Amino acid sequence: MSSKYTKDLINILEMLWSIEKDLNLVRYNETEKKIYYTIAWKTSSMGSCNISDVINSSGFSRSTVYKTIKKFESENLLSLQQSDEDRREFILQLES
Amino acid sequence: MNSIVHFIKVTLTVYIFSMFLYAIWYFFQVVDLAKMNPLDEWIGSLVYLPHGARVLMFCYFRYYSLPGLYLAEISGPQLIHHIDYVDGWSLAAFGSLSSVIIAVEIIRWVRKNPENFSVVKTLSFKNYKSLILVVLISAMLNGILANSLIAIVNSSISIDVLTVLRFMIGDILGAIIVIGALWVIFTTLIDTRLIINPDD
Repeated sequence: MSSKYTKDLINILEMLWSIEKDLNLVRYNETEKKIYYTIAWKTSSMGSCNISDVINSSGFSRSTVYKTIKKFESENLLSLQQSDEDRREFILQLES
Repeated sequence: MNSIVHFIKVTLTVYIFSMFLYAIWYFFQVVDLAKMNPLDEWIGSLVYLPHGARVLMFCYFRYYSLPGLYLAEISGPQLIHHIDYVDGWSLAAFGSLSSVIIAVEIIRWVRKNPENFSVVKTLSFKNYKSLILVVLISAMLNGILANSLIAIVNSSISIDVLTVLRFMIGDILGAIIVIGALWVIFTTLIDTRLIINPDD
């Protein structure tokens, strides 16, 4: 059982969390943020980024990456373009 | 026994946190980067960080926090500030702490539910909006209370409207900066996974 002191400290953290929620900065979880950063980093360093690049660089599973990319796409954060070199592959383009 | 341990833990936490804020505030006050007080007069700081400690500590640790807060109020300025405070500061510190207590009690009584109201029931500050309300009310009360008490003790000092206003603005800005800084630290800790996201 946590002590009264710990509960008081947790209340402070919950208050800080309520600020975070109201500022709408918690729409994306850590995994989603990392996938987004990976796409941005790959695009800036290599010129383009496809889904396999994200899976290899981020270390997340294929399903997690696909699910996140679909979410980003539905929220107009990025668009998918079929690769000319490999028709099975999609190039990820971040929306500015 | 548990209450004594809790009291000691709270007093230490409150005192260390308050003195830490005094130390940071001292830097802003003495260096005076914004050149808001070039003559180093007793006119009230425009960013009084220790008010953040008063509000945060009283709202979350309630009446257990008062000894630690008062100790910091009277020892903070003497240990850290290079200029002695005006006479009667120890009395004005009562006024400052009372302003926070009154602000919390006002909100508690305004929000009372006649059906299940209890005198001993404490107010929850899990939402930051209640905390901001305490900051605003206590800053206004502190400007009036602290300056009135100082004017009563010091015959040479009269209540100046500008100083009261500076107290109010300084308390509001100082407390909001403290809460903002804690929020930045909190989000950084979550991003670096040093603490767990409460929604996970």
